[in-house]
Amino acid sequence: MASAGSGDEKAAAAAMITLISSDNEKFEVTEATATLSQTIRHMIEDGCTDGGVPLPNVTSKILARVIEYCKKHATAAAGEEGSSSSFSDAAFLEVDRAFLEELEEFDDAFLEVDRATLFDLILAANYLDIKGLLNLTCQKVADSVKGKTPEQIREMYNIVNDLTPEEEAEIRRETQWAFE
Amino acid sequence: MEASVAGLFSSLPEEHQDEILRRLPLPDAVRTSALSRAWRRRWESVPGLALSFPNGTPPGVVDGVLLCHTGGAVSSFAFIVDNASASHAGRWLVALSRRGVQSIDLRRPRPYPRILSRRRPPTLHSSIFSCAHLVSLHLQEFCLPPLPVGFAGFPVLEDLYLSEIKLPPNREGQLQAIIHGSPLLRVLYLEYVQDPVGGCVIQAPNLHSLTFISSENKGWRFGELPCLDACICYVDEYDEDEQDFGELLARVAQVEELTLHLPWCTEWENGVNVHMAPITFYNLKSLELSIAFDCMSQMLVMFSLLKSSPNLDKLKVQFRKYEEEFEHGELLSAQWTNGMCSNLQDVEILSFDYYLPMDFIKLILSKASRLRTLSLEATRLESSAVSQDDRINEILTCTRASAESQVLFKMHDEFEYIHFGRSLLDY
Repeated sequence: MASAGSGDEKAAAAAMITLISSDNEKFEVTEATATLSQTIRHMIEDGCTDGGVPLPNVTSKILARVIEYCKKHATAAAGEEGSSSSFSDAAFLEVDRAFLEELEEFDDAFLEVDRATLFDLILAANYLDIKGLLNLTCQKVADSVKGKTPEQIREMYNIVNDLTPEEEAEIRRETQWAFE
Repeated sequence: MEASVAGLFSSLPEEHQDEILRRLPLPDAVRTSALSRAWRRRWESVPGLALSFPNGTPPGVVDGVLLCHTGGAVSSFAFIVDNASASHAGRWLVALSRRGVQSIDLRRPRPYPRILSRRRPPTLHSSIFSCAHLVSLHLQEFCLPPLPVGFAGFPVLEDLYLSEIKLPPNREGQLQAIIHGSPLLRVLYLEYVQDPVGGCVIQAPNLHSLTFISSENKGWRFGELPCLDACICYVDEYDEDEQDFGELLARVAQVEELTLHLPWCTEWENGVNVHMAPITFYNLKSLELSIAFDCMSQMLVMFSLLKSSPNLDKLKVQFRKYEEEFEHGELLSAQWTNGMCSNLQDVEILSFDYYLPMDFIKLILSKASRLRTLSLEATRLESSAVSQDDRINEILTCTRASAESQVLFKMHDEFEYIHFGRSLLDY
């Protein structure tokens, strides 16, 4: 994934974009992969990607994960576009279903990360404006909170309780129905 | 900007904290107010929060939530309206109509198992008709008020689900006006909707799925439904003076999936014109039928459908039986024509009245040349002259037109109610 700046053929290189992480690591990706990010899509449209795209808000560790996500989902998007002509309906539906399942499995596995990484992915998805990744990661956090007590959530996400016991009792009284 | 574990949530821009809260069920979102001072009123300003209240929530809580929630638009609202809360619902609808609500789900509490109610349900407030941003509307067991003068329709409504709804008396064309005012409607579910005036023509340019469940066909007609893919139709009693059954089928001849539940034999024989127009169901891939096995005219309807559906690949039939002794014998095979069921691959037969429709099973096995599976689900035979094992042997050894075909059995020890089609009356 990390590019060593090898002498690829020019035709291939033409559609490649170099992304530069905050710790100065270079990643070479196809345009189709990069343009899952609306931020990068706009840069390409404005013609300011020569010499690489610096992403000062994203570390190499997180950028590598984001690229992994984009590669998988760019293939999915390409599959959808080219599908209608190349398969008969029924055959395509089969392929489609299998592919969607595979994509779901990929997403599930992709989200098996520690909480700090998950939040970094949200921040990166936000900065790069990748809607699918943002939805996926926000949902994962929401799922982790679902059905938990305030104590459990505080512990999971290191939230300091600065409410006085009286204040907390009042809040619980006001919203008692939500605790039943 | 690597998020430190200590301040994971606070590292997020506010809009993403909102994104996360927005994805929580309402009680979970509200509970976050007890996390810390910063979280205390956080949920109240989340735009698009789904206001779905658990069963039994006191109405005062809804009042409070609608008052506190200042996050602008409400994406959805769901509440089970019991007698104690019925008088509040009007106020809520007024508030929701002003806040661009996109989805409303109001139901009455139900006993289980579900029975149709005889009491007169509460009447909804007319501001339901001012919720112009509705994409989905689900109402169960209410009286609808008359449409307001100048009703502007539901311009973005896609799903309309009406169950046990009473339309206002002395007003013509109310439901038709609602459907007509919803040009984007894709899914329409009508279950025991009572229209005292009648004369409703169901006609919708973008409708993909239609479910029509009614005690009678009186006063209902299907009009132009050019986009329809799937139709489920359960009518308990057909009235001979109304649109005849063949005409009704002709309106849905474009579908890929069709589910028909035909009534009990006696009612059917007395009241229905079963003349089938020569229509072809070119798109039909999947057909589900529930028919009275001992009603010859219903068997003929099934054969007409099989003859006129050249691309059918999946057939599911529930056979009901009324008479004690009944055999079709040669009558069925006489109905078979060349090319019938030539694409049929999967057949499912359900029979829960302690008999096996042997003639039909053998006919399918001996004629359907592309059959892959025939699965048979039935109650165990008890006092038949021929034992069950003999029956099964007879099926297993009969001639098969398709070398690929396999027969699967699932026998139940006693009567179990098994849902046919979509789980009707059940959620």
